[in-house]
Amino acid sequence: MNADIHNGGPLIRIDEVSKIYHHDKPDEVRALQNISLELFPGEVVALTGPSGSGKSTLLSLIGCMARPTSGTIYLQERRISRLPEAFLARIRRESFGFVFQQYHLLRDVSVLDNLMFPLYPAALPFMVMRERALALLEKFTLSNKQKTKVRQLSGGEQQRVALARALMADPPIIIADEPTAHLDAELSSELLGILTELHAEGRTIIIASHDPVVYRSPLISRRIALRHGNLVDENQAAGAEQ
Amino acid sequence: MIFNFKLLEYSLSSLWRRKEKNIALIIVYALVIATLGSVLLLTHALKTEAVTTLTAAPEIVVQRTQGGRHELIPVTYAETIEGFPGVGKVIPRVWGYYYDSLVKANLTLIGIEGYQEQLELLEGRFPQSPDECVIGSGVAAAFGPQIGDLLVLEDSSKRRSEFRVTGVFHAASNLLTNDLVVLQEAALREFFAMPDGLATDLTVQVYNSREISTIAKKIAYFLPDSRPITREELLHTYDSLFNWRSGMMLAVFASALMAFLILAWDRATGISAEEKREIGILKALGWETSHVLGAKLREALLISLTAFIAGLLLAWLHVFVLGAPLLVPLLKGWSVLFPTFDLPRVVDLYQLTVLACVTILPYLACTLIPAWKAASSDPDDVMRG
Repeated sequence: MNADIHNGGPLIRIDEVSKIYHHDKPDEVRALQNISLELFPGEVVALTGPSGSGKSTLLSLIGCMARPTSGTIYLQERRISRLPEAFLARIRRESFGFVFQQYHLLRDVSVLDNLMFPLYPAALPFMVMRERALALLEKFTLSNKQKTKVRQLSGGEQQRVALARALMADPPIIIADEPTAHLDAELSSELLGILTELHAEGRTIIIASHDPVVYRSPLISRRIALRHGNLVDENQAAGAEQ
Repeated sequence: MIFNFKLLEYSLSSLWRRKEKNIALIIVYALVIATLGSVLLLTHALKTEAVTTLTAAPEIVVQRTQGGRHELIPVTYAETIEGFPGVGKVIPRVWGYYYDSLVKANLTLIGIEGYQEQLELLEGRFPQSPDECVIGSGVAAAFGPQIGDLLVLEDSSKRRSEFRVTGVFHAASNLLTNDLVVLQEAALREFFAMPDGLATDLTVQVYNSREISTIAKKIAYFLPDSRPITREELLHTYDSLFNWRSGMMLAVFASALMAFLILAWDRATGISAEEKREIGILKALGWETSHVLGAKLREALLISLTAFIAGLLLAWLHVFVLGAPLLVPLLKGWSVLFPTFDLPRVVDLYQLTVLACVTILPYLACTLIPAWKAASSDPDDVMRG
């Protein structure tokens, strides 16, 4: 994996972070309010909560895809929330692998090319990129689809392509936003199997999901519940679920 | 190096994914370039043609005016002018215009005696008797006769005159010889019923080019009814004429360019949700703003250079192969009455550079500014739309 993981200390520390969209405008949205938490190496963390609770926003902030309105985020004790854009891009490509709810694949591009996009800025030789992509396609039983355009794939296949793409740069942290939202029970179970394998490889996994199949899975080592942009007590969250 | 190739590959694939839109854009863009390019190529070719023509022209041509109109000039004026220090030969020329209503072309009939030194490039031979003539290639094309054939013209009293063609011009200066019919002076005087002792104009040779304007002033002073025209004045007139005409045309076509730029700006500022999403995805995957801009710059360059080259080729074909049928009536003005002639295939690199700057740079800006706006936002914001 790309980044060394410190033993003992938190991998990610979030300190009094708030995120407000359309700040000081009539349509202002307070997505997160004074969130503080720590995530440790090797954890599989499930962010739970209903739609609009702030799960996706928190994932975006952790993954350097958005900046907090206030507060600080640390990655391996390096303050990353105010870094310039070029540094954030480097952190995104070296430390995080993203699996988006809508997959966010380029639909008119082949599966193989979709996998190679994250490695373009690394300027690796073409054959290295290709071999790495083919190995991942083999792992996710997609070898026969390498030249197929993404729009011709089923939902489950697109999900696996998205996962394979997240692993192309061999990141230590996987971020998955509602990964089972478009999958049936069988495919959800298959996905959890893949995530279990990734965890076994030593990766830290952060999943936002309101799917009980995911957050009640034995894979999950910790649940963090969110309501209206605030962290809530685990028992409160469990009560609300029932 | 590898990254640059990968960016280029990405740009090509991105263009191909939106091929219908991009092909339509290239067609419109190329037509704008072709229109503007045609005006510039044609104007430059006509100016070059004029300059080539006048390089062989005499230093001073003296005409006579009466009541503000061009009149025949007494041949005796030649002796007066030859008496000025610094003046070489003064040759009376006999010439006139002939309009043929059948082929709707204006021809210039000249007497060989005043022109022989200027007209060097000739296939065949000059006329040696009053019933012989030499014709320009435009006349040969319009009327059909070649060496050995008869050219039939009607004089002002509708009397038919027949001249056997003894030569055809293929001069470097097509504008000069294209519409010419060269006769012996006696035959020409008879055809135009022009009295002896008078000529159409006089050509004046000046030994020292720095004395041309002084001698022209002297001629005007000693022969008050004469009008000396220097070669520089003629060049200046051609230059002004074609600059004015091309300026007018460019002003008209600038509106086409503006319309295109507005279209390009609209296209670029309104980059589709799909394109924005794609930029957001690339950013989320770890591409930096500069990487995205690099890819978009390559896309814009591929489109604009393709359109520029295609437009220039179209302009070249339009002007130099087809003879600029869409612009000639506007740019050549009265000379449309001449038989058609081939334009010299000359290109002004400065004009092409200016054309490239006014078309390519704005397009690049129109494409890169909105891409930069999207790429410099947080990926989360861009993907959320």
